[in-house]
Amino acid sequence: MTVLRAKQLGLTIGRSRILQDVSLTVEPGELVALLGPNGAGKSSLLKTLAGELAFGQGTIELFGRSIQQWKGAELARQRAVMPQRVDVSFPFTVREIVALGCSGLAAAERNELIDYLLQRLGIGNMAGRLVPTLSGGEQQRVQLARVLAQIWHTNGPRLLLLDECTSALDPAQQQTVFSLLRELAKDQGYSVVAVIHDLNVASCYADRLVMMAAGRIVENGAANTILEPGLLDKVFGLKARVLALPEGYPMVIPQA
Amino acid sequence: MATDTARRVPAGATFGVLAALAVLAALFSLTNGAYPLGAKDVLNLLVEPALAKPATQMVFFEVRMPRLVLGFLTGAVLAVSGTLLQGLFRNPLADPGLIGVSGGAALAAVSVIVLGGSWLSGWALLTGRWALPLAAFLGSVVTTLLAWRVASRSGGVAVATLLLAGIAINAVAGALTGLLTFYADDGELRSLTFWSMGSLGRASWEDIRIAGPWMLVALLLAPLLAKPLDAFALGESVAGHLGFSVQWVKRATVLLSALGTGAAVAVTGLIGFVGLVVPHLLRQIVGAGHRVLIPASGLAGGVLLVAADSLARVVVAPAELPIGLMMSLLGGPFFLVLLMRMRIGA
Repeated sequence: MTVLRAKQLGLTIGRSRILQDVSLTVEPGELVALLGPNGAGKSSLLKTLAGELAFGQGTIELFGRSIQQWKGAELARQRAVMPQRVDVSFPFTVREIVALGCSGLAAAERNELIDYLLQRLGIGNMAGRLVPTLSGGEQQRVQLARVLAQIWHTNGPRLLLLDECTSALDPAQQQTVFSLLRELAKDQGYSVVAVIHDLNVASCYADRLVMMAAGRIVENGAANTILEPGLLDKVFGLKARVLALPEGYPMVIPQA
Repeated sequence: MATDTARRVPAGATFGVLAALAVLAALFSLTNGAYPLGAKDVLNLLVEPALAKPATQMVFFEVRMPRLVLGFLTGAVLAVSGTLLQGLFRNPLADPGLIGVSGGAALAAVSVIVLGGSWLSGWALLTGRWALPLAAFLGSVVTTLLAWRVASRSGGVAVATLLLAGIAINAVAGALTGLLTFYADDGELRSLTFWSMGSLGRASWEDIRIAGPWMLVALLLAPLLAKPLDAFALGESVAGHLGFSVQWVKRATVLLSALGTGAAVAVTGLIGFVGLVVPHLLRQIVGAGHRVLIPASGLAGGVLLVAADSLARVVVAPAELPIGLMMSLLGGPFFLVLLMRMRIGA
């Protein structure tokens, strides 16, 4: 079953057209990277797919059912969302925040899952710390753990919508996160739609790249076809060389 | 790194200590006042009321008891409302006054006091001795709904706009209240001053019959909001992603706090600081999780108000200080010291 099917989405806020004629399908086990310059509509598309923004034109189907027909609590068991930025306003501990994603689990099971996820994300020793006292990168991984916990024990198709989920992480942590995401996609059949700024990270980990510009999807395909000097120059204004690596994916090297 | 682990008092211990404090505060409140009543008298009265002198019975059952019950309920409802609204607005500075509850109540109450004999004589006739509390209650509900209305968009209610609308409505209500004060005569001025300083001095069982049910409804339903308010700490949209019905949570939170606070303000007048200080303080002790924070705030708010009310009777005996004044006198400096000693937000 197709996990996500958006057809001819249009989104207008005030007088500005944020999204135009955006169509996108995502299958189980696919990790899709949303690329594009700032203001291209990546976050808006993600928010629209998350049901946060009401779209004017088009349709969105999640797990074979129109998004309007889903009840929030029901959808939350199959689809988790990580916004670009989450501020924790009160002195909650890391464990309490991740536990927000674990509704329906018994205490023992919940703590086991929380400890496991924090371990996998490299913040295993921080469960008792207060979130507002953590660094940006640590907080981002706490939120990621919460998002993963939300659909961890769900059977059947699952969808992750991630908006720049590693923007505050160093390269090694970024590698940890995307390796985990790819593992979830390959082994568990997760579908992942992630806004990614780093072209090489997208090239290395994503199955498919979707390039956006000015509210539209301009290209959609494998890294070899998307990461191409002409397109990068046209969309980003980026002058770059593209190397085909022996590993099978291209690498973008901006020119000095 | 491990040294930074949050230090918290376990919930069980917190509730134990608060319950013990509640008993102490109740005893203190029952045994202090113009009429002498010792701890032994209280015990006798509770076990075998018929043996006591009629005057003692009267003071105990008709003066001290209703005052204790109303004080506890009011403190609890103010603190719980503060907790709910701080959770909703994701801001430790929010309190029931901020969305217009107290401003509207004050305007309505002062209108009744000043205009009860003239323009509002119809209302005064219709409602009799309940003219003031009923008006105050309606005033608080109407201003809250107005703020809600202003903040409503097609997609729901904008929380930041609600806050700003509350501030603007409070300003208008305050100005109109001031205008009425300007026209009040000496007697009216005195009674409205007392009302705006808050008092439990005339608490009766009838007050509790009228306001109590609203306050109880607010107190008993508030814990249902614990889980969604935890999610709200991450923001409205995240709460939505986690599957909570965001509009429903906002509606329930505002409604419960307006009902509870409106009812309390109607019979006791304006009592500040409880809704602000109690949740803030408790969050440092038991943590931010609303499952524990809401009931603990209720208990602590009740204890605080009963204790402050007893003190207000003692310090200038045989006269007494208005409780609202007392709260601000004690609460203000205490809160300042607390802020200077703690890292805010940590």
